[in-house]
Amino acid sequence: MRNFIALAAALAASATIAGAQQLVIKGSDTLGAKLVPQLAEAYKAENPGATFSIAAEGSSTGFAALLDQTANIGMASRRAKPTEISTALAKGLELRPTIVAWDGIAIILNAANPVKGLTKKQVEQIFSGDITDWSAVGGAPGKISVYTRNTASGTYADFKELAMNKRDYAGSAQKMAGNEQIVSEVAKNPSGIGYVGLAYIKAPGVKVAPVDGKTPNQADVRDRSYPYSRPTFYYTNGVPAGATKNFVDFTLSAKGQKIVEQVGFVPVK
Amino acid sequence: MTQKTFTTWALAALCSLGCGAAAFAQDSSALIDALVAKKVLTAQEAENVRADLVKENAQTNAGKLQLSNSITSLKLYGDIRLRYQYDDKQLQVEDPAIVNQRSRERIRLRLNGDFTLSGGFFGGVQLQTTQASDSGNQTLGDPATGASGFSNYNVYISRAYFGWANDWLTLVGGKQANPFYTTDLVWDSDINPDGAVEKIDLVKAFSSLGGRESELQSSSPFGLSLVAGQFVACDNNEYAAGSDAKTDVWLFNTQLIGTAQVTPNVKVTVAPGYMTYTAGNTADFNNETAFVTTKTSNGVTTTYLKSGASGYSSQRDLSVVTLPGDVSFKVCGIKTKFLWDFAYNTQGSKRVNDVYGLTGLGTVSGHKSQDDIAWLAGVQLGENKKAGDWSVLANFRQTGLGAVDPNLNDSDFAFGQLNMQGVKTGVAYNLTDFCIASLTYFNAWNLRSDLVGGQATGGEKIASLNSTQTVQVDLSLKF
Repeated sequence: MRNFIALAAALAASATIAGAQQLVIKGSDTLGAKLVPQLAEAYKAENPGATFSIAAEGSSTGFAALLDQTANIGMASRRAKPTEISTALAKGLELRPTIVAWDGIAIILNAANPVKGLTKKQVEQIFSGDITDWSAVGGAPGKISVYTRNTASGTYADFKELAMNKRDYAGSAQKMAGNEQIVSEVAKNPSGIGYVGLAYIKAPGVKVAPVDGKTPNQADVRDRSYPYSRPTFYYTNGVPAGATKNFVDFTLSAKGQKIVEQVGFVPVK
Repeated sequence: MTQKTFTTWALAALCSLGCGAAAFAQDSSALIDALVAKKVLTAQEAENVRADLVKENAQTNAGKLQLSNSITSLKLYGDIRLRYQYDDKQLQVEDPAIVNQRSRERIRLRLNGDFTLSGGFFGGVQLQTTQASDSGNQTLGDPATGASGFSNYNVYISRAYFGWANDWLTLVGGKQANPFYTTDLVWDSDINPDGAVEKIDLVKAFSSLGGRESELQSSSPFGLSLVAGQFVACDNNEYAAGSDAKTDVWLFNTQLIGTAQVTPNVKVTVAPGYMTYTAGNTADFNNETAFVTTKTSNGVTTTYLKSGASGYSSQRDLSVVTLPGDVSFKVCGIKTKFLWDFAYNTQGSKRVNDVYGLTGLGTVSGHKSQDDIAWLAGVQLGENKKAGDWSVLANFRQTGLGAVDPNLNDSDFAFGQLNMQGVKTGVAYNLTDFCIASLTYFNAWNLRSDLVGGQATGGEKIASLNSTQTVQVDLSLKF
């Protein structure tokens, strides 16, 4: 009886992934909160039988799901870590990246903040806690409130790599679950500063701070002259096949890339 | 060459490099980015190459090692030393309980892991054979340590520390390597003291504060550092009866280390310092030749201290001024170092009288000024860094009875005994870059022949030797 229950559970689990047009997509909030749901809707319009299960709780959760074989696609705003790749190899899996869009991590301030822009050094110093008062960067005196993503986020890791010389975040930094939460907090707090993906900068109450005079835009992100540019990925187990391949191809198609642009990301092509 | 051919070549080259070098996957990012910028690779091709390189790396032996994310660098290393040792002791007063001649085969293992973390933090761990603070030697088949009959040996934690450093300040806490510039006259090189250390590079600190950092640091031929250490040698119960019994024994040692690069080949180092203890009770120090004042054996506590003295601490009355230094230069292209050390205990008279109990014994002439002084002078030629290197050393020293702490000084020279003088000579040769053969000879004899009684030849027998000879033949392997 116990064997039968185990077999049934295993079959049910595998059916979750291998079902006809069922696609399980997990991972990055940057991709999964806006872009991928819109891509999924457009895809469903052309493929009525397709169903999606999308969970956007951070890039790390996408890799974990791929390693557990509970997702077809892992959305990621960062590259897979060597430890994740070696774990996959040990399980006979291969984490295969496909770039689906380019993104720029924008520094956002409260709209009422008089600071006109920051240097890369100032960004590093603010987020690492070396600078704690706005007066040190030309703002009105007042304690800086730093908002970051949480540790499951690919953006959290990418920002340390791109903007902070791999230093640790300030101990006082408040960790948020998603881009929208950061936007919301910074919009409410005149002393707030945070970072979000390009798709989240057009929100009321916040403004983008140019970094070394550069504001994230399509051209600068694409040619990487904006300092915090990065690719975003779908990770799959090996070369995509079947329904997974169809959705990846759709994402990279002209129609899919148009959605990418509409949402606020920079298309791959 | 067509664009496509070049792309294929570039991919193949990157992948083959990745197979051959474990660290290449992490190091290749800039190269891949450059190839993308020059449009040799598309962004997607670059990602595929990155993924392949990391995958290849993960399949190498090195790639299978996983380190904590907080570690930015890790160095693992160690050494094994095989030693044949012959000792000869002639006593001031014959004692049938003491063996006069002995030969031993000994082994020392040390395993080290030093790591750095982000933000200036660092740390390290060392494991080694034997618990004695001043010797890592495990005598093979030694029944005294329960090691006869091919039984196995214990391994002990000889270092466990971490700290933080910036350009001019270093703070370290834990059981750590000796931070002081010294010779084995005062400090046995095996001792890793327990406590806190602060190092200030005064040249860098002042130039940094003065805003002339790069200018001064790059051009100055002078170096000046202040090193301070606070080490706990014996922790006592604060509620014990008696002031000594409840006082922890702390060693405070401070040193100013000055260096001057006189010419490109001549460098002078001088390091005046001062060390003193809090006078707490000491029992069961674990040295090869420990000197303690209270010992319990078979339920009987014996106090080795002059009757009527004010306390029960073997570390009492030590206020020692030290002045080690060296001049390094080259003779016929050979690295040469003239080195010296000097120690003067400002409370030597009190230590000889109260701690060693040599006043009022009738047969002893009492404290003499030479008891307060220890000094060493010697020369070293050559160095041992790679195969074929050789070095020769010779030094002479005198160690007065009250001059230094017998729980710190070199346990190899006259077994750490006081009131001794003599020579240490040695030669070492690198058989390979990592394997060194060496021969060391110690010959020592007493400084004063009239020290009989008290704890010189009775009790703890800290100055009981008339003469000694020791020969050590070593084969050391570093890895």
